[in-house]
Amino acid sequence: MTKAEVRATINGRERELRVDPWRTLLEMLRDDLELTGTKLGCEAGECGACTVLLDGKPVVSCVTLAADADGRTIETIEGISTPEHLHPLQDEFLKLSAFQCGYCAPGMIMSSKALLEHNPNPTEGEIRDAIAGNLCRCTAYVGIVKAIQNVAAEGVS
Amino acid sequence: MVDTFILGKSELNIDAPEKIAGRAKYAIDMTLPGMLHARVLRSPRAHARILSIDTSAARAIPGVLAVITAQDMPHLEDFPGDRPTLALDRVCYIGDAVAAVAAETLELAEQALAAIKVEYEDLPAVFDPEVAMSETTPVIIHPSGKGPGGKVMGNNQAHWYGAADGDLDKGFAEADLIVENRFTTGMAQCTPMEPHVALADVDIYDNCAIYCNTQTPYLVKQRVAEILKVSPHKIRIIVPPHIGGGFGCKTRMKGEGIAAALSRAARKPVKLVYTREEVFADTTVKHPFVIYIKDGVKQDGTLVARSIRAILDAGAYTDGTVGGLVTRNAAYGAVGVYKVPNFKLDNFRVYTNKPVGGAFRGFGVAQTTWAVESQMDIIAEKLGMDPLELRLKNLLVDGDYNPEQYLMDAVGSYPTVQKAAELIEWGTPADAPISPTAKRAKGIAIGCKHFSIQTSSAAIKIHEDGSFEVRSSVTDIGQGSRTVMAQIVAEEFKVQMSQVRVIRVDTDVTPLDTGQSGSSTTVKAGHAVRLACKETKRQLFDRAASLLEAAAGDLDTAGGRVFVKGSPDRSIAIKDLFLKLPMGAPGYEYGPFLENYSELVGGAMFYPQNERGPKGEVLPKVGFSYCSQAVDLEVDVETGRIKIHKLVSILDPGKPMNDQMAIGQIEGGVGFGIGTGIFEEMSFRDGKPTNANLTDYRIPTALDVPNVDQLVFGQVETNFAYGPYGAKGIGEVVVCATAAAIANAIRSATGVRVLAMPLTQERVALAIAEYEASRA
Repeated sequence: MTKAEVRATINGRERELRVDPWRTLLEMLRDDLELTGTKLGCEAGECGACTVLLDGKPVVSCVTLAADADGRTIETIEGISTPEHLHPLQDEFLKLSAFQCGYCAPGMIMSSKALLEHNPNPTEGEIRDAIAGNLCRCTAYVGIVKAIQNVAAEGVS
Repeated sequence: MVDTFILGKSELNIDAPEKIAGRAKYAIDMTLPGMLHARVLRSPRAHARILSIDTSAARAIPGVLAVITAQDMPHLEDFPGDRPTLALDRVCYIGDAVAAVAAETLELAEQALAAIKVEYEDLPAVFDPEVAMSETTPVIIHPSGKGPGGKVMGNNQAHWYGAADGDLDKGFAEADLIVENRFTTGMAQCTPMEPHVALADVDIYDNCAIYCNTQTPYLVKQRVAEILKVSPHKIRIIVPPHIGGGFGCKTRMKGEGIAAALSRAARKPVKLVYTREEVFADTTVKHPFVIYIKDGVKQDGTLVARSIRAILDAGAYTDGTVGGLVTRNAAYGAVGVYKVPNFKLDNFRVYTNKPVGGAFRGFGVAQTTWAVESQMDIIAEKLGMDPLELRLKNLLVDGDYNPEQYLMDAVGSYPTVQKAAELIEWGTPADAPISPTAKRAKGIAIGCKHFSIQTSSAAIKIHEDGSFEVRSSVTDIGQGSRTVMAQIVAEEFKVQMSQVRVIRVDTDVTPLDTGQSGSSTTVKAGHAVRLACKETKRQLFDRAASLLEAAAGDLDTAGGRVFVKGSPDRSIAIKDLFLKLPMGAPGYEYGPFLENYSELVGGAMFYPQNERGPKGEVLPKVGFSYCSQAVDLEVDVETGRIKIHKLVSILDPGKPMNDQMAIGQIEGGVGFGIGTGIFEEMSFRDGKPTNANLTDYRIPTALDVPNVDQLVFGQVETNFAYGPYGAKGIGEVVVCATAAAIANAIRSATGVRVLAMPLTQERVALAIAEYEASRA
């Protein structure tokens, strides 16, 4: 079987991979690149735990083919902070103890980041729309929504 | 909480920084060199005899390294002995595990599953517990258990629990009004975001290490030892340490035994990750209940008699001791809140050919609370009383005996329901609905759930730099138990949280614990860590006593120093108690040590039977926590859609260990309560799940819960003498009252009483349509 070539910018770094044509973007990230911050929850695009940004737009990587990332830019949870500096959203999620088990956190943060980059001053309804595909079972989304509101109020750097 | 150093405060969850950075390791992230991937072949038949299994074609596929059936591991759980790990000669529900494979890739594993040929002969199946327990049942799934009087019960009846008080006939004879209803609840799934994972590695000596996300590591250790037929000392359970949610369905063995058996067959590490469909139908689910309730009341609202008959849909098997426990513990939802002088309860757990009922946040109590708290409103309406007034009139208070003859203590129903009523402005009519086709009203309900006082142990090690290490086998499924254990050590030694590290659960190192269940963790682990700190202090003070020329009993510790009580200038740093060789001396490179201890570590077991309360009394088996909820909602009479304008949830946590985490439990409870109350119900066609995915089985999204300013959470403290530092278990009570509060509001708004939960849009719309038709 012919492998698919994927040339992509992943977290700011040019990568060249050869993957099976049926391999999902999630498998490429988690298994081939060991970027395990992105989580697997349903393998059907239903829970949002695997959300990453593809050219700045949130996608569920478990139902996105790795081959479709060819020539594009991918951002994952590992790419948005350094050990010294968290992304403002991460700072705020931490401050509000927005998560419990934390399994949905990487996907939730990536969806929130895409929202604020696209719409810096969202209403509560727009925030809820943006994260409606990211399921959290531990909370009622209170700290999550508040954290996004707070970061929007402060303005994203 | 008064006079505490760090307990009760909102300390940051020690795991949060790793989690938000995407660095936290969950079982699903673990890999080992040479690891194989596993898949499980599951029954497509609801009830069938297995005539033959042919695995030869699967075994012949290159890259498939192990194929197992019950012939390779003829394991049957020892109690109550109805559930094999892989089907022996019969499958009892769609999803029952039949065979398992391990291969170099998942694709090969799936090819191997497709190549296994199983010949079935269908047997009659039954899906309704009331049919299954009848004399005309089409099938006997398993032999019945023992019921009243120790007699073997009728068809398919697995478990019974009964309680009685007073004289029921006399009570009903005294009553001015008798109210009878039949309530039902749906089957729900815990739906943790991380699926069940087991990565097993069995070496040539049959030493078996398993990385997994279980809520019960020591139970899994015993079960896997049975499966491999080796001593439990060879089994090592490691939690890496983060778990992506649990809520009950990760208690007891799930995929660990199969992964271990495959690893032994292949002599390679084997990773089994459940698919979402497997999580739904093949772990364990919330027991659906049918609840018949009959109440007798006086005209003034005094409850004089109550009889309850609950039928629990067990599904195809019993999840070890859990089936009997849910049957028993569901009773707590019927006895915890109200005085009922004449009382009778009978709970029956009945086999059907469906997924297995097991531990689910609320543990039977959420179901009985649904019936009782709906019924209280129905009675109030018939008497023309305010439903809050009827409740307050009948509340159990401290010093009362409940209908199961428990002496009630630290009762939080009154303060929680009063506060909830105040915050929802009970007595003031709801505002006008926003939608022209909706009606709006308020509802209220009291939740009360037991928490078990179980066994746990812990060890605290003091390192040579004066920092602390906590060893406990309590897993953290997200609620923050690791943080609370660190807080207790910080409190006891008066040090900052940064001086305390909680190591991951590893049964080779961390001592026995009875698992994350029954809202038990705070109480049992809190006590175990507290006792372990006491023992560690004893060793520490023994060592410091001679250096400080004081009696060990006169010493105390704070900020990393040991000092003489009352003379803080006579002190020594903990790190100076360790022997530090002079630079250059032989051995100095290996760091400080203790010349007569291997390590400074104090361990303790909290075994409730050995402990005594403040007055020397035996500890109760359970305590009760309370969470009352009130809701202001509108319901669209055309579509049945519910919109919550305000939801108040007030918890009695005893004394909270960590304020913010207690609020986190209330918040999560509301999410769970709304989900299981309005949306969530597993559905079946002839035993086949029809919504075993996260699109068709809907848990609340951010759009399905009220806005942040519409959720009001609060706590009122009670004095629970048996809790560590006064804390109660709180993880489940927060889910119990929501559905009834919503149903009560729907009734007030529309006149329609829905007796079936969840209150799905379809169910509510149909009920309203029927009601309108009956009035026309």
